[in-house]
Amino acid sequence: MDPKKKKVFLILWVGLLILILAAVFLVPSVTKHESIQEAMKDAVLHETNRIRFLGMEVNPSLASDWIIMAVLLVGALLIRIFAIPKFQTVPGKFQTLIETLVGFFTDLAKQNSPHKNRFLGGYLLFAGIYIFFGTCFELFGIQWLTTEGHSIALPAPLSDINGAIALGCLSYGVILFGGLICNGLKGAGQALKDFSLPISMSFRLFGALLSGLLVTELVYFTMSLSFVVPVLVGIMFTLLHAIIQAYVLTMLTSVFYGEVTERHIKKKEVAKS
Amino acid sequence: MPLNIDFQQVLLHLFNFVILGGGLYFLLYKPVREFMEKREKTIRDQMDEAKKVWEEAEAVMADYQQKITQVNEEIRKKQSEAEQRIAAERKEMEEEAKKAAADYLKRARQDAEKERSVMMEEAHKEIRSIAAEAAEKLVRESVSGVYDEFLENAANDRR
Repeated sequence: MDPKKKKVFLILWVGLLILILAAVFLVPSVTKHESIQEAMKDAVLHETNRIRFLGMEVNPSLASDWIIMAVLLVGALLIRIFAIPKFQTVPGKFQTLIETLVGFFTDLAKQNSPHKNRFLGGYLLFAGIYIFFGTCFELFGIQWLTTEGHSIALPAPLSDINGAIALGCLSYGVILFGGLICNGLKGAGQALKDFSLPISMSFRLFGALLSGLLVTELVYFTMSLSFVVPVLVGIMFTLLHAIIQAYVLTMLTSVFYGEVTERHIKKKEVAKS
Repeated sequence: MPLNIDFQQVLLHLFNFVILGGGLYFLLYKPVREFMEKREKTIRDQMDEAKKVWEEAEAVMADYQQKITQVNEEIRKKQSEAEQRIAAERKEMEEEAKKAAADYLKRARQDAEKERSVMMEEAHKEIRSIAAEAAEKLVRESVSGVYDEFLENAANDRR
């Protein structure tokens, strides 16, 4: 770029920043309806800020869930209709991305569970994508009206203990089902031995996601922390733990699934072979 | 419930997860995995086919190599046989030639001897005839003188 133009651009940019900053302090803020203590307590317990759905009062995380579900399903449908039929033997950039994603979870399933891994691969893809996008969802700060008429930013669905329990139990159910299909009652028994698994999976997710939510809540609640800090806390931390949590849950599920679906060769068969 | 766990909401989340899981499985995972497996199979088949063709080509090459070796061996053998045969024939021919030459020489000598003896015979004959002729001539000359002398003497006596 021409040095003169560069100078003009920098002056304009800094001027715009100062203008916006001045506007921030001049424009009166809406009075907060709750204190930071109440906001953080509500982020954990969901006692006050609830939303209405089909005549039921539910936690805001369910609305996040619907939005994520709709976006992901529409995205998958579009890929199915427009992209997959055009897949080539030598892949392009988008095809490589999709194949890498599917290949990653397929390989994870194959490595940890040599038997009946097709279903597991599909489940891992769902869980991985859901946790990743579900965690990143809090970055968008989509607003929703509560039953009390206040506007709240929709949280990550898994920062709600109910969502985390649902995913933990579903993962455990998949492990139990895999054990039952592959090794019958013995496999199911083996899965049932790890009865603490759904609790540990649920609370690991809940803890990780809630901590992210609380930190973000704290940062956005305080005006002085709303500059630059959110770039680090809000985006980088969220992205990082979105990847970590997606990987941890999918890996744990595949490892336990692999354990319960492992074929036990009887001593007689070993002797024969 | 502690932490405000609400089983109705757990079930609602679960309901969403099942829909999303099923949707992603059938819309994304299954077709992409099938496509990848199909491509992998195609590539594996092509590689197997190429390997098979390669092995066949190698077998054919080995076969030809063996044949070439055999042919070379055969050529060498036949060459050696031919050389031996030629040498034997040459020797035989040489011997035959020597024998023929000796025979020819012998025959020539015999012919020459025979011719010489014939010529000698003829020469003797000729010499003999010449000698006889000369003798006859001499005799005739001497006899005619004697005869004339006799006749003269006889005539003289009568007188």
